[in-house]
Amino acid sequence: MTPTPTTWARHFRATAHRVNWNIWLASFLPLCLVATLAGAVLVLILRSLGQSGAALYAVPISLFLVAFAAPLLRIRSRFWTTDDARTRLDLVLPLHTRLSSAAEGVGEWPIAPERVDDGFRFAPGRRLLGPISGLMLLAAAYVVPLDPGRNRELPPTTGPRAWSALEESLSAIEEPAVVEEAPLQAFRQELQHLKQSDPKTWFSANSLEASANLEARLKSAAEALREGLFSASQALDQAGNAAAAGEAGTADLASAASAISESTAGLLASGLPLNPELANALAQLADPAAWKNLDPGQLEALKKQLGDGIQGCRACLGPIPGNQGNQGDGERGGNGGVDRGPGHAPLAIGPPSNLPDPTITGPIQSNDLSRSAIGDVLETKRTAPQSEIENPALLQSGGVLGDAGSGGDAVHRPDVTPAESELLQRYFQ
Amino acid sequence: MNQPTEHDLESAARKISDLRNALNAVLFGKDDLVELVMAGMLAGGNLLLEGLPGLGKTELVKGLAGSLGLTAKRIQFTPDLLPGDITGNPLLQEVDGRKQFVFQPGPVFTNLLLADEINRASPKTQSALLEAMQEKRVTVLGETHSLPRPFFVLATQNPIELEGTYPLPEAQLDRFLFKIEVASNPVDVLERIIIERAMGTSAVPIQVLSSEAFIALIELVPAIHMPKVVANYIARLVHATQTGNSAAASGIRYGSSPRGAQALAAAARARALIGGRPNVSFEDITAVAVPALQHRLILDYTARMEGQTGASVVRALLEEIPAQSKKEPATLQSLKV
Repeated sequence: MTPTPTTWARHFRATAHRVNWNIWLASFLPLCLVATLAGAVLVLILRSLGQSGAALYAVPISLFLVAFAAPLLRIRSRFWTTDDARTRLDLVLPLHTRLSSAAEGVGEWPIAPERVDDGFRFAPGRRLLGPISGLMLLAAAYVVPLDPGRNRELPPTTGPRAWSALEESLSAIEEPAVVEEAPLQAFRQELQHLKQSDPKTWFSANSLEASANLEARLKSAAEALREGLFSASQALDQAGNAAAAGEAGTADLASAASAISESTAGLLASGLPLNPELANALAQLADPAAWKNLDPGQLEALKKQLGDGIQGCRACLGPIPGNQGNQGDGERGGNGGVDRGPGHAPLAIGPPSNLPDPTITGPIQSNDLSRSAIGDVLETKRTAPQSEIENPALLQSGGVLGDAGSGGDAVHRPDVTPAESELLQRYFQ
Repeated sequence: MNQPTEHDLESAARKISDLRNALNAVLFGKDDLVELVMAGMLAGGNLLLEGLPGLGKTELVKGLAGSLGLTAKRIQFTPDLLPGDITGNPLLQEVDGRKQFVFQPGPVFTNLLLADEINRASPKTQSALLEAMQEKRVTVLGETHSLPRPFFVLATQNPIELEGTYPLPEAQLDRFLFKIEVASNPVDVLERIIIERAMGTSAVPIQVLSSEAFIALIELVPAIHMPKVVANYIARLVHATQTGNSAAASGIRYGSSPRGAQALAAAARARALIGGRPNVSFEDITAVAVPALQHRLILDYTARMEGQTGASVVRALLEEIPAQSKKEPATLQSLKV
């Protein structure tokens, strides 16, 4: 059997714990309301800033922890001890303060029941409404849809289209393996540098300008490469024809070999220089003597490689106007576009118009007044009468009855309003 | 002081119960009054009874005297009453052929002194009782004469006839342990009085205790244990009577003195002894707080004009000051206290 003082001590502790928990709760509930409201506001702010995940939950949890711990520092002095709990039971139980007396060594401890009613009932009343409302607001802050316009400030997930175009161009040039790798890597590094910048600045003027500049430089180099490869390819064709002609084509072969040499030198000096193997192969063919023992298969392979290089450059440069479809491989833009054709399109179905040349600027005069508007006939404008302030004498005489004027003088300009003009027209008609 | 044994307490409770029965046989329907009077006397205090004439105050004193085997005297206070009429006077007498002053004890030399309508005597005469009440002795012409033991003053006041009266000074009021308001009798009690008491007759009390036994009971009272929490409650209650220390004290000009706290503690101990308990409880405090404190509070003019009395203020204090020193949490509802 449990000793009576021990049992009573257990009851005292239980009562003290219950009361202390409620003292903390009474202090926590108002702070909980504040924490939930502040948490809801912060969650909305974070969501509007594009935050998500753990950050959204860390803020309210932190506020709750503060609200949880703050009362402990403030209300510790109000916590009940077991002595206070004993006094409570002395008051509630019909023992006439025997518990306190027994604790002070006077009298016997009364027999302790297993369960003791401390006379308290949990009755938070309206104190719970605030925190519950706050929690509902906090939950709503997580799910309420925000204005989509707020997300416009989100950083982009994909870069400018110029970057993907640059990558495709670099791949197209690299694939036929006609140029050195180092210049292409330099272009790639510059592109990578742009990609590694802050996403918020990807579409800034500086970034776009840098991208355009990079693209322009690549295209310029690709254009030079294409022209060089094209020249080299033509020179190879001429040299091949001259070599096939035998002795008769010796002069042409020398000329073609010279062209090959020039083309090779130009290609090596361009922004996208030829790779060393191809350059060596071309350099060997710059010697006319080398054509005598030239393997036709080797020449075809070389020409094919140059052709692939040209195709790669075209893929890099994109479609060339006038060089689409089955029109063959043009070197420059065709005659299409707005300037193509003799003269301008009539812009209307029917007999040829007799409208004047639109390129001639000047006043328009119409002899057909039947479809004219008033403003076309009379030069009118809606304005207030203006005084001739340059002539002080007119100003002085204006409106004075005794001054008949000297004739020919006018105080106001004879401008009329559209309404006055219409009235005048009706009068004269 | 040694704690009373359980046997002591049982014996005391039995004797006090006999005394209560004897007094209830004398005074019908005044159980509360009888209990307060017994508590006041066991605490060794003097009592001030306030009530209309004919409510049994004199009968109560006679009953007490008869039940306890004590001597009792009654003084009807009048405006021309002199201090010597109470304490006694030196009379010039011839003793052994020489004339000398011989002290002739006054009516104060008794165990139970009923000072009837004490507020009708002049302040000077009222003051003559001060030393007797506090020191249990009388000094006349430089000679101090001890009063018999036990000595109690049971004074009465008529609350309605205030013309030609001299309100008791605060110092003298403070000497009274209790001020008890004697209420009028309900119908059933009046009916019993009509049936059992003929006009002009009074009950003959039965002695149930000797004066020595009663003194032994009085000496037992201080041995009743006062738990610290109860002492703390008394201290907070008396402290709250000071202006500014509680809402109920807003109408009080002067609060209770420490003597009031001592009186409250002594009366609570006596009440615990009446209940046969070895310790004082919170119930004892609330039971004796009004008679022990109400006459020690001096209300200001506004409070008196609003109809407040010392008793109503003490009741408000009991409502305001909780026995538990620490506050209860707001989220808990107290059902029993």
